[in-house]
Amino acid sequence: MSYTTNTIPARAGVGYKPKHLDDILAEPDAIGWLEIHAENYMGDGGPQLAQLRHLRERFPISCHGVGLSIGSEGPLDKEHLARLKKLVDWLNPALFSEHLAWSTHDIGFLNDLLPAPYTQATVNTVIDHIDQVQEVIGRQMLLENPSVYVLFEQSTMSEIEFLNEIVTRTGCGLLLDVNNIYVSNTNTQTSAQAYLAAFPIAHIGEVHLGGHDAQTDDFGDPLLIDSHNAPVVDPVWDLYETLIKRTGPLPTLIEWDNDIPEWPVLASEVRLADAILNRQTEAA
Amino acid sequence: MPSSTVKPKRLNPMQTEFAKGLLNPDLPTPEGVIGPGGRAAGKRYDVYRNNVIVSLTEALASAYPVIKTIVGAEFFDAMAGVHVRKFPPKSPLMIYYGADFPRFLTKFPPAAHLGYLPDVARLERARRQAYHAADASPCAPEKLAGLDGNKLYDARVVLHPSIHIIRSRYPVFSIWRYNSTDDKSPIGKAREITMISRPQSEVIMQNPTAGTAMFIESLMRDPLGVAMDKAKGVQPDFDLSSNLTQLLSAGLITDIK
Repeated sequence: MSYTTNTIPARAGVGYKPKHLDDILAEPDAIGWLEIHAENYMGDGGPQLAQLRHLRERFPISCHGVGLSIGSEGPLDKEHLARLKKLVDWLNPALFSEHLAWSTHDIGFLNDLLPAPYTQATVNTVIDHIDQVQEVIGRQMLLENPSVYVLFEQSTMSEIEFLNEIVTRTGCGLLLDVNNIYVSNTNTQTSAQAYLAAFPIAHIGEVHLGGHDAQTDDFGDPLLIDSHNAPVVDPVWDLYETLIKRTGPLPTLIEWDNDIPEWPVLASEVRLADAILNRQTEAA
Repeated sequence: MPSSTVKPKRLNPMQTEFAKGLLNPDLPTPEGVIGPGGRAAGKRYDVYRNNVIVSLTEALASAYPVIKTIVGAEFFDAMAGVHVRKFPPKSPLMIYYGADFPRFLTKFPPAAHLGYLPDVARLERARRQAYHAADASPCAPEKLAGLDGNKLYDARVVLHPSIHIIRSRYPVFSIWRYNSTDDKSPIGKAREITMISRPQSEVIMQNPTAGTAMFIESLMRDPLGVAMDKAKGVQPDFDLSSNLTQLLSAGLITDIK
């Protein structure tokens, strides 16, 4: 099977890790596409960029930013946005995505996806930032729903209302992380099924699936951490299947960024996602 | 493209407080940050605190693996915790995080007995920079052959952008080699100069002579003749043509003008 390298097929792909390079090249049909973290490819040169040059000739690539800090109250880092544009212009990825989160502040870059209150002021700032990003890089971006551990007293709207206003006013698409739905709704003691039922599915351009770590809060209630270091759990597979039954097949990424397993472990997650996607293709 | 009518305000204190507390465990949970049902956030806010410190500590460890081997994981993590709070990254490029770490080590009393540590860190930093340096093709050998006596002195030799020279009072290359390869031959006492480069995909390290090191450092600023004079000043038997030939065949000369 082969695809043109700048269209993402509606099947499963993986977050690219250099340790899997030989396995991926040995069996390229095992995956439909690859996703890279933009910031890892912003060096001036060297073997990492050389690998990406090689891979983009063979696989459709999705570019996932982790450092733009779209949810910052302050202005976006223009230097960083210029670096992103340079990478996207060169790579010409099939998809480009970033997070509904912030990570940069006056004190520095905090290297985590931090939450913001859902208010009209935050919506307006995020919309300005997405407009700016889409204008500078000259293409649509997908915005990913976050994993959250806390709530804000200031919040005046739900995450769904917040995302709806953003897609309507910016024309951006959405990256739906199904594990994040499960993590956030467990942590905020709300229904993941209800969240999924209300989600503006027409705007989804990509799906993420990953693993999490289960802890408890000070009251003994579950506190799930979006750790990307484990297999996808069954309730997340169930939510995913519910989603795909409604939307039909969508490009789906297995994210495994920490305690990275040997290739066969990751490949079996890919097969599970493909099985759900295939069932839906056959049913259609 | 549609744009919102409300301009973003200057930093509202929310993110300022949220951010400060992440680096300072003594600060309380920021106001307005809560758990479900309005109860105290407690451990929930600590998840973010932990994510920030752990992820920055991991970024530092991936840039300085030999420092971690030398001091041990427990010591390294504690030291990194102090460093990342004092010097959080200035940019989202984690591949370059840790520029301040070698200098931090010169002023970190619990590691003061390991006098060589800052220089080993400088060497690891140079390796990281060489790894991500721009690619450059070697220049054609004819360019060197074409240099005649008159032009030679004023010629500009352009070196590969990955080259770094690390000078130390300690045998830092040997210390690095002992701690990161299977070569466990004893570490001598003599100070070492280390040259780091990445002409193709591998980072290469060597111990150049004093003359060669001076020559390369000088070529980064001076014309060829000046670099040769400086090299002879520290090493009277410095051989210009063999040095140029070696640099050229190693792919480390990218142009001669």
